[in-house]
Amino acid sequence: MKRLAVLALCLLGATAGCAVAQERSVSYSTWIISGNMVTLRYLLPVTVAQRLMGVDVPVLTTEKLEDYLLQRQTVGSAAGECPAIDQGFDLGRVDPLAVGPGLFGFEIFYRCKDPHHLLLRNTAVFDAVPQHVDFARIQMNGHVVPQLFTAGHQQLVLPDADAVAPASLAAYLGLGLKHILNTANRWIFLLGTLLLVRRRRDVGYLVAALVCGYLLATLVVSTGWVLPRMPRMESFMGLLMALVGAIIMQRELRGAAAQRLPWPAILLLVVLLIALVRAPSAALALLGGAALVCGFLSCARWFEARRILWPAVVAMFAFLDGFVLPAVLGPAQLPRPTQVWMLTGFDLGAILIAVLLVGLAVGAWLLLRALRFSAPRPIVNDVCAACLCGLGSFWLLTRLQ
Amino acid sequence: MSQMSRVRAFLSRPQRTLVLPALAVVIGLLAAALGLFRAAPKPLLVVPPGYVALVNQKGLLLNDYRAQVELETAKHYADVTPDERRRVLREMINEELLVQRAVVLDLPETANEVRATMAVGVNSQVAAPVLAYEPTDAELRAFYEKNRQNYATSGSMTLHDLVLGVGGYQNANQTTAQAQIDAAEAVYQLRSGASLDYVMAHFGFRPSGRAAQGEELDFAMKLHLGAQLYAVASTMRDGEVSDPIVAPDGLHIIVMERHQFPQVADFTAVRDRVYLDYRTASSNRATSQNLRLLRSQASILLAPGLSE
Repeated sequence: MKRLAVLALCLLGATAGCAVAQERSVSYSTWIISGNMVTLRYLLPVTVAQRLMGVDVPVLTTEKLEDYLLQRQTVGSAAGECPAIDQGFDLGRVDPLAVGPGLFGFEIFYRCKDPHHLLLRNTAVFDAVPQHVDFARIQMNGHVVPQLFTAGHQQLVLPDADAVAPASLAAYLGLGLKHILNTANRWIFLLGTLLLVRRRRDVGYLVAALVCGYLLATLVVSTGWVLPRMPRMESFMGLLMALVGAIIMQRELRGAAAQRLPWPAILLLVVLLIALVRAPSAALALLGGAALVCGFLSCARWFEARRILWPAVVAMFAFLDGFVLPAVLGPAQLPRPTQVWMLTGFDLGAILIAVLLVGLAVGAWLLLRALRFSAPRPIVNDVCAACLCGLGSFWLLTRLQ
Repeated sequence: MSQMSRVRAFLSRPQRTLVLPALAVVIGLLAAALGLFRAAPKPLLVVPPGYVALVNQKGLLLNDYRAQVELETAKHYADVTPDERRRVLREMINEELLVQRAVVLDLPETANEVRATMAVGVNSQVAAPVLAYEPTDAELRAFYEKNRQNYATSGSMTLHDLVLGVGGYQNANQTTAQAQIDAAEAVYQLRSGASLDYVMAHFGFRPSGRAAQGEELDFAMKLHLGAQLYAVASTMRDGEVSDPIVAPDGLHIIVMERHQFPQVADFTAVRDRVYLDYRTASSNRATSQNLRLLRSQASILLAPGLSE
């Protein structure tokens, strides 16, 4: 299994460059249907908009976006297309809104000749970023329901009399699946932890840790007490990945003369020191990380022969990953129960795909063992530990804000 | 067992190797949690004291409400009926909704009327503390002395502006130098008592048409004569004849019939004006100081070729 993990790590390490630039591409739309009028309020993060338009000047980005949205946000009805109406003054058909820092906002009014068989189409951004997700709110017949527009679901048929059905749990489950599949550091972390698996029951601990982490995150989100600082959290996940590498390294050093000095902890502390110089505002998180690393590696040494501690790191990683969705839901202004429902589906999807990945890895390892494929274990572990430490440190430093 | 021996016993136990790292893990997790999360803003579910309503989490002040009720009904707050209070509250909520909508629509950036109103509002706010101060008579008098020219009554003139054309179709061969000789002679004769009509007929002068016949106020005369001729006329006294003045349309001679010079009004007569001017000047000073401050803090980039 460890050999397979090495191969997968090498493969994914090659794609790590993509993960550096990886940022969640999301937008937010509110569709208000009132008689024959449809009002669309569309919010797009500045980073997504600038990447889409290729312009750094806000005014030019706004102008280009207005034309872009007119082409890609449309409404149809039984009587054909509903045109976007001119909003008077010198506004034109797309009115730019002031929606706070970090977001571009636009408002478009559509007037339909026949308000029956309405069809909302949202094709913006998907052609450029297929992973893009638009969190929509549909307000119709006195009900507000959450919906999702994705590359595979770019239009929504509205019922004439009934309330619009909200997006199903399966839709959010799909988001969770894609989130793990499209995020390289999640893959690498999971495969890295497989290097620590020694017994069959350890796989069970790994899955249980994942479930516990996501469950705890859902519970914390449902209280609404705290909000995540997401870029910092992403960098902390890098630290956890490096910690897994350090645990593997420490295990390999057991009994060696070098063990007199806690090299893995020293390495990580140096990385944390560099991070502190780079982003002093994150001092508390980094000092906490330093204490965690030192304490954890010391505990792990003490526990070595009896029990395993590393599933706790997996649980921490899953816990932090559980805040990915809530972190982007802010501008959608959804009620907390709806957010918890969405998060439940999202986390279920993430757990399912993680379990599937682990299962595939275990299956492949069993197959390789049956084929009597072997590789030098110490080298494998050393290389993987180095990869994990390197990638984790890289993500820690590059994503820290 | 003494305290020291207890500590020694603890340090010699193998468990100490676990206690400290475990403590480090717990402290590390707590510190990291503090760094990785921030407290979520709590939505206001109850109207706080001192407010009458919350509109999208934005409060309407009780004081503003009472003042609005009294303003709209022209009654003391205690005498206002519940229906009237409800109506005013509804209006205030509607207004708040419209203001919030205006902010979302970015009207301060897009609507000229809103921008102008906002600029006036800021200037008024800046000037308010200055205007609240009542100046003493001594300060007003000092201001008056410093700006005496602003409190002068307007003067008036009755004059004749004669012009001798040069190089025209009637006297095409006459050079400016020759015309200046004629004009000097005309001036001499006018100062010697020759009549205006005689000089005009003899030397070919004609009225320039710039000055109206009869008395004109100084500012109007300045407008009509132009800066060059007015500069000469403004220094002339009754009955004086100016030296020839070379202008693009010929040589001018100004004959001042009557000149009433401007007179500075007495302080007591213009005290009210001085008071208003003093307040205006103070307000302008405050707003310009505010602008200087804003400019010192601002980053302003001008397009190439433009200046302000």
